[in-house]
Amino acid sequence: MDIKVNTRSVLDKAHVVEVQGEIDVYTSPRVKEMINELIEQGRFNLIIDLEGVRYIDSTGLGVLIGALKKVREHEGRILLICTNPQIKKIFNITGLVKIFEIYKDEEEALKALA
Amino acid sequence: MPDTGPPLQQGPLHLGLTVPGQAEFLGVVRLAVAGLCHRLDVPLDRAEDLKMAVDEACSHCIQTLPSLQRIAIRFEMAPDCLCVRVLPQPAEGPFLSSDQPPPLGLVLMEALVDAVERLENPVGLRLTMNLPWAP
Repeated sequence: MDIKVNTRSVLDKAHVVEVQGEIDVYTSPRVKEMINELIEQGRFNLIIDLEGVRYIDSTGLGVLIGALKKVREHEGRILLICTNPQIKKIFNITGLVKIFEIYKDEEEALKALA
Repeated sequence: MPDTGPPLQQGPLHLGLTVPGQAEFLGVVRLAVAGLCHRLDVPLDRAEDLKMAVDEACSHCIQTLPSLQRIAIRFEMAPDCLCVRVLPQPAEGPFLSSDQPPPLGLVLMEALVDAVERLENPVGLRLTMNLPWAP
């Protein structure tokens, strides 16, 4: 499976989900599973690091939207780290740039959570 | 032989790829599109757009057609455009319904390439990307 998902806690404020690889119909269930696991554990502030993601399709976007809906039910937030122009373009085309908070690195995302 | 539609348009280039109708082969499709675009000197950003549009078309087939066995992808290079036909086989089921809001994947396809056409016989999608940079 061409996807790696690692999670870690940061300063007890948030959980970082680092995704590496390509998120498509085949790999998105793995990403969804990892994010849902954190939400079920009561982690409602998630920083999803997409810096290692080379490709994301509409299924991957659907996973992120689903996760955002879930954390918002608990007044949580999802912050994305993404500087890849092609992926940012997809967020722009779909209008998701207005829904997601997108930051250039973890430091900036953590500042936004403070 | 699976039905792949009418003969390809005569031109300098035709290319065909048939993959099993399973999600794990989407990476192969993306690689093929990227390789072809590289060969045709398509600018990188436009190549990424086409790669995603073709991937979304194939994903849509996989997600909506339970009896899908394979997907035939036919590339046609005309002097001023590159057309890609994505043909699910067999195409039995609710492939694209105009009664429902378009899925996000279709919205993306329409934004990424210059034209998306629904094909009836055989059922599928034709994606067209204009090539204004072609000599």
